[in-house]
Amino acid sequence: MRRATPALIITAVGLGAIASFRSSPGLPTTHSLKVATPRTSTTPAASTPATTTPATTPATAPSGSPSSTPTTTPATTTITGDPYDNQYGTVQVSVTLQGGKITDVQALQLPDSHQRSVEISQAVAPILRQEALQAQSAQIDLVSGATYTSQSYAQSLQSALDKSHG
Amino acid sequence: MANCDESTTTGVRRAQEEWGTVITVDVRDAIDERAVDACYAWFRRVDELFSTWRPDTEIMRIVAGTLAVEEASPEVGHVLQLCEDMRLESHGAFDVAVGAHPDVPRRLGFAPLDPSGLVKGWAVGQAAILLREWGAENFFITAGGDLVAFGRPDTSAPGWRVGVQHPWDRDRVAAVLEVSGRAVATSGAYERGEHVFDPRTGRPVSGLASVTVVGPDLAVADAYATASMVLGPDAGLRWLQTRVGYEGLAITDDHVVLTTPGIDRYRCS
Repeated sequence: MRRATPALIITAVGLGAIASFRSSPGLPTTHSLKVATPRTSTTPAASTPATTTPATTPATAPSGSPSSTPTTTPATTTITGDPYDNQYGTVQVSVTLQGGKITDVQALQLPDSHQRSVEISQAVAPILRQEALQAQSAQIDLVSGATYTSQSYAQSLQSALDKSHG
Repeated sequence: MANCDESTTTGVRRAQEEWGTVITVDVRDAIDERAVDACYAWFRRVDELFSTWRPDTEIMRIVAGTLAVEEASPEVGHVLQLCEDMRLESHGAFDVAVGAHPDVPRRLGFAPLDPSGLVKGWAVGQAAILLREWGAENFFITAGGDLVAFGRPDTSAPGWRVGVQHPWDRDRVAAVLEVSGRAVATSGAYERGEHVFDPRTGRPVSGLASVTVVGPDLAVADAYATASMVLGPDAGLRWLQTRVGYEGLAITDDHVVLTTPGIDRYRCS
């Protein structure tokens, strides 16, 4: 499972920038973590692991209130990694932990063309690719379609594939 | 029950109705056919635990208050914990209790606690582990559009070519991804009357027709796809981009394809 990965490696949005933290054999460059902005506790390791049981409280679905600072869940701690320079500029990320589990990773600094750090919200948008939707009839082995609320489209195409192989 | 079985010297292919959808298992290695039998037995067990269409399943007894989560089968506790992890990770955009929101319309088979979407991906992922234990190396399993694909279809191809369903053209695909050892999940609402609801507001979401996520785990990919649908074209894709090991391709209501840059290594077109 990805949560068991001993060293967290983040490829920063296709720029070839890699930030690595925590000591790990095999990684040439390592940076120690330091607690920068603990929100509710400075001892995340001592907090109780999440034992939330959604089944018993289905009616408490968040209704407009942000779920980032619940009072009944384990303490949330945000840890900022050291900035790391590579050929493209500086990369720095923060990791949010709750009850010992990573709940979020944010890039605080990413290289831009002027070698100055930028917020991820500004940096990411232009990097996301955009193109016009096309209909294709390519050679495919199987199909992925929306299934959460609707299954018939994918079933239709998959059944056609099933028939083509049968 | 639709059931077609094709056994050859080079593999086993079976397509069968389960969970109200069609599950296809296609193994290109010469393996014992009991491996595929074991997959479908597993799918039926999952249905007995998690179906929201019958009142006697464990999940529906939990909903009814006649079964405590602690008393339920370990699989049920595991799935509900995974659902809770995904809710926290998505800041509430993925929430299997969305049906409990007072503004979300009630409909048949739609329980106030409904992990069906994630369960399907999780169960298919478990079946892949089962197949690998039986020695299968080159195979795919697909359940109504969510899939895992390992190895390759034959020696001429480096991976499996997966078509991403075109939202409005039933017989075509919008993109082709080549994957091996990966899960692919798509969330969307491109049929009339179908909606994905925002668990935080109870309102139907808009902006995206579908989101396809590629990554190592199908249950997680499915939850990420659903959360991205709810977060919308801008926030959804930016959030998805921060998920380690997962890449996405989204189709907006106004016919634009948005992708995370890392999807390029899977893309054939």
